[in-house]
Amino acid sequence: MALILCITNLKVAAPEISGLWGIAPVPGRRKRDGSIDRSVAGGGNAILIFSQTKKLKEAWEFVKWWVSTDVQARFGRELEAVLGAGARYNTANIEAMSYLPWPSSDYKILSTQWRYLKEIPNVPGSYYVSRHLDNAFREVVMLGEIPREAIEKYTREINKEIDRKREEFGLELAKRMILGEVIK
Amino acid sequence: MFFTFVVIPVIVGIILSFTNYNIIQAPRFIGWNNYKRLFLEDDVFLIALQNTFKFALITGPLSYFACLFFAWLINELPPKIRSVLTLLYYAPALSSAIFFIWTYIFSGDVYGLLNGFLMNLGIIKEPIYWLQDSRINLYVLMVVQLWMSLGTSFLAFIAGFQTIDRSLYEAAAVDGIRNRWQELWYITLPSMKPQLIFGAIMQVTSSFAVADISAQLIGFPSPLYSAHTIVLHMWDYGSIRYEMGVCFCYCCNFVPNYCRH
Repeated sequence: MALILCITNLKVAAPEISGLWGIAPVPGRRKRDGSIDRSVAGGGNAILIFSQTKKLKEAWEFVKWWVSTDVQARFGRELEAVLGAGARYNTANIEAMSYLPWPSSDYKILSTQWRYLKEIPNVPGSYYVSRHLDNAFREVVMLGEIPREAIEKYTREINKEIDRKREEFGLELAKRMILGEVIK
Repeated sequence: MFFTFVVIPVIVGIILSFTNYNIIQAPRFIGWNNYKRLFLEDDVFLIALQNTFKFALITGPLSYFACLFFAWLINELPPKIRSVLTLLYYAPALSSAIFFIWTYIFSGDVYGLLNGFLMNLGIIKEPIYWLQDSRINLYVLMVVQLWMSLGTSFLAFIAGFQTIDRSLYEAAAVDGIRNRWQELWYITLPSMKPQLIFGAIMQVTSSFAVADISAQLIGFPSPLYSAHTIVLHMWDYGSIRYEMGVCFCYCCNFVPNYCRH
């Protein structure tokens, strides 16, 4: 979460406003059942092991060791001990996160928000999704385009690119419906 | 040297433009498909082409005359001031990435330098989104490109002014030249013809190849592709979509870019 970086930056770099600000869950839309949908887009990193490697087992052991709660928590704490609070480790291990020295109120909010983190699915050609969502947004805000039209137009563009990439990788082309009409 | 670094890459590029090549796997021959796509399907290519020609036609000549004008102006000054001013004018081209300061000048909120200035004067009521508004950002880029453009050809012009034989002016004065304009027109410009031609080529090719400025100031890809240029389009295919065949195909269709690639 880029948010965490921002929090630590503010905390460390702007001591003059400490205590004048706090964090809160991202505002969202109330759903029909009364709960609030606070979804935000986010991403994560992955670790990969190449299949050609000669030390497959060792690599797997290493990965398991590295992502384990103990090691992640220890790494985070030691990093912070050396570099100060500005280097608070942004671990992906949710359990390890609870061992890092966050104030408990902040931690509660962060772990609430964490549940609403959604990643844009990575498919061949998915770089086109964020690009054209951006374009659709800009066309609506800047040029006054009708939202539905903009989304439809760019959905077509995105689908075209995904189709091209699926073709390139020899994957099956999906049949898609846009406003009730089957494309392809 | 010439063969290894120029001829072979060009030939390989032409061959690869007929293939489907993604760097990782071996290229697969697909005939004219890339070219068909380029000319018949790709709308963004048309936008990029249009923007590139706008740059070439507007900033190319403008920057050329700016170079000439400033070089001439500086040439009239005493040597010490001349070297200081040369450095000042050449500095933007020298420190190429420094155009980043324009993000502050053209920042889209009220704290942006230009927005704040215009709002203080009461010319505009709300901040203008200089770099993100797809209707104007191309022109903002042109301003920055002009600022950057006092480069090599500017120096060439200054050198050209310096090397003109002084005795020509004396001879001309004897022959009846009456004012500075005639001096400029009949002696100065003809005697620095090589520099002028060199400058013209430099300015026009460099405005054909505008890319970095757009990517750095406006973002890549720019909103609605409003500041997309040919080089950026190739960049998109080459380094984001990994379709080298298409990328080379565009390259082949855009000869001035051989200067860069």
